[in-house]
Amino acid sequence: MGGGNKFQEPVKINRRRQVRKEKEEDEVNESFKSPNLEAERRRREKLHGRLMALRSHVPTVTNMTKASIVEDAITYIGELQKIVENLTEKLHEMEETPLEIYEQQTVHTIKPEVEAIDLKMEMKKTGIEENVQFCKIGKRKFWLKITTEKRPGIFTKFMEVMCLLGFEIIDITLATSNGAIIISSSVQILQGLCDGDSVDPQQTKDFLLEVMRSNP
Amino acid sequence: MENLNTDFVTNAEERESLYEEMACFDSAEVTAESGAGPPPQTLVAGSTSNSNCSVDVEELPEFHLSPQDCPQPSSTPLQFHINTLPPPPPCDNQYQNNNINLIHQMSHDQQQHANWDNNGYQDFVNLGPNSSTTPDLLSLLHLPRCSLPQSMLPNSFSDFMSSSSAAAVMYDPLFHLNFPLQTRDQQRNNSCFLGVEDQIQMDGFDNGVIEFSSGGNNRKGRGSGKSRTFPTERERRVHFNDRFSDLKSLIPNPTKNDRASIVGEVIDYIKELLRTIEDLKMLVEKKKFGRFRSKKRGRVGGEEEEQEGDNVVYRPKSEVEQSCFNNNKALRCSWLRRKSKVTEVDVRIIDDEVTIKVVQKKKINCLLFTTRVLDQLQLDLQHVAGGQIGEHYSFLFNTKICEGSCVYASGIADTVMEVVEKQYMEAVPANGY
Repeated sequence: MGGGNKFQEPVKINRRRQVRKEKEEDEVNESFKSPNLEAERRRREKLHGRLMALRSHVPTVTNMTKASIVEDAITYIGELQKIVENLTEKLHEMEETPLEIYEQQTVHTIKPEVEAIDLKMEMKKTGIEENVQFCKIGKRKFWLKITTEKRPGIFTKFMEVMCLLGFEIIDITLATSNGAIIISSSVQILQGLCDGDSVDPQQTKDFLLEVMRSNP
Repeated sequence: MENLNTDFVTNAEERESLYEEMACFDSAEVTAESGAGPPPQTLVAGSTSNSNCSVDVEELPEFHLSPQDCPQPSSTPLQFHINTLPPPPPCDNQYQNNNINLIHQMSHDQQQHANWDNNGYQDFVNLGPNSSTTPDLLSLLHLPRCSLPQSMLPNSFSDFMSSSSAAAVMYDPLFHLNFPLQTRDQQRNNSCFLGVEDQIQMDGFDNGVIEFSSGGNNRKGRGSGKSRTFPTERERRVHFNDRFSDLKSLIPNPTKNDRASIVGEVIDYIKELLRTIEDLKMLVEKKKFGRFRSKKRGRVGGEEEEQEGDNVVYRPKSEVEQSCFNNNKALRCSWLRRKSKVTEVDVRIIDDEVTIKVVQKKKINCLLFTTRVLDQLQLDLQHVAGGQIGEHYSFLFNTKICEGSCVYASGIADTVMEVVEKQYMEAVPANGY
């Protein structure tokens, strides 16, 4: 189909002109010709290439036709999904055995306390102190930085407090080191919530400090 | 394709010369049957006919091409009679013997496939140089119908009878000429071919193509028609397109609708599934191993007496323990990505560290929901960074898996995705907060 088009492949600029030329020449000879021959060919080749790649990933057992590649892929995916299901079930079963529960109770209750103590000590060792900074940087924008002891769920708490205060996060960074956590963020008062002036920095600061210190 | 075929068109002299060159069992048949009343059907290597003709394999290309040569529409299903052949005339040509074997095999096949009305591709082994292998291959083949023009017969008979030489060289030119025929067919999904066949079928003629059957694979691909479930090419195409939508329903993040991208996503999904399976296997084994180990060392907290009561369904054998031990040394590694129109979640696990990236179109406080999920999954936050970028929120989480937790990449991704998507969808458009 379009044997004369061989020559136009390397030259892409004049492709359209050449296609038209070839078209006129070939019109007489060909009965099947699509207006965007090159594009169509590329589309076909793309699909074909991908089907071959698919074929290489699937252990087919049947023919090499396009249809059977697709069918085999469907069955193979089904099999893989079943395996995944089985394994996850097995994993959950293993979690729920009495042994595991017992382990969880003992290990997990002990662990956080031990860890918390360690963290506090570490913080003290490195001289990191709890700290909250909060100031206004724009009409409705504020900047804050919190240094505190790292406890489980503390970030969630922070996020909920932000939400409560009607602050929208513009950007945020959280880092942990030596048992401490530092949160630095620019926030913005939600539109329509209240005027930026009505936010008292000191009050907010104290509130944040208190929240961060409190235990859940 | 038709052009090629017409090149072969019946040229009596050509055919005669062919016959002369080829030693064919047909001669034996022909002599036996010529006296018969109603022309019995004979099996010819590479061709089937309902007339008394002996045709070489090489003849066939000629035949398909010129429907007008077939005056007889045959509506009867193919039937082959193996005529009890007289013992082949003394000839040390191996070819003849092989052909006779072929006949028997073909008849056997034929009785199994009674209806060869349409679209039989004749996949014939070239009975020339490789004749020693033909019996095995041919037994895989279905034989289509082929009726030769009556006019040919007298010539062929006489020629066969006169010939005794082994066939060799004459096969080649025709064979080569067959090749373009094949590839073009394959490119067009046999559509043209079928058209021709349909036409020819009405004439009771079959389009056979001689090709080296390569283990039967190509044959099935090209031999469509009634041998499979779909009677027409169009239905076959429709069914094929339906399969693509099936594929699409299987993958977790369908985006575009065109075939090529569906296939691309399927490939990625298969890879993801394989990784997930590896991950889960490792987790399961780690659990087994961990359990075994914990039993051995006793309880934290000193309540050791109670432990002895719960006993060991999972006492691993030494080999399992060994493999668990080995796996514990291996780095656990897995990653995947979930994508929707508004959200994208990317999860990577290396050893006990999980990196999660969440991007969502700005509408809700996705950071809050994500951190809740991470707490639920017992992932210990090490580092978080992100913010608003244009119309989106983008956040990157570095976390650590708590010891004893058995989360896996796809579980994390699915949970996060689910929660975040749901919240997005449920949020009031004006103010998601």
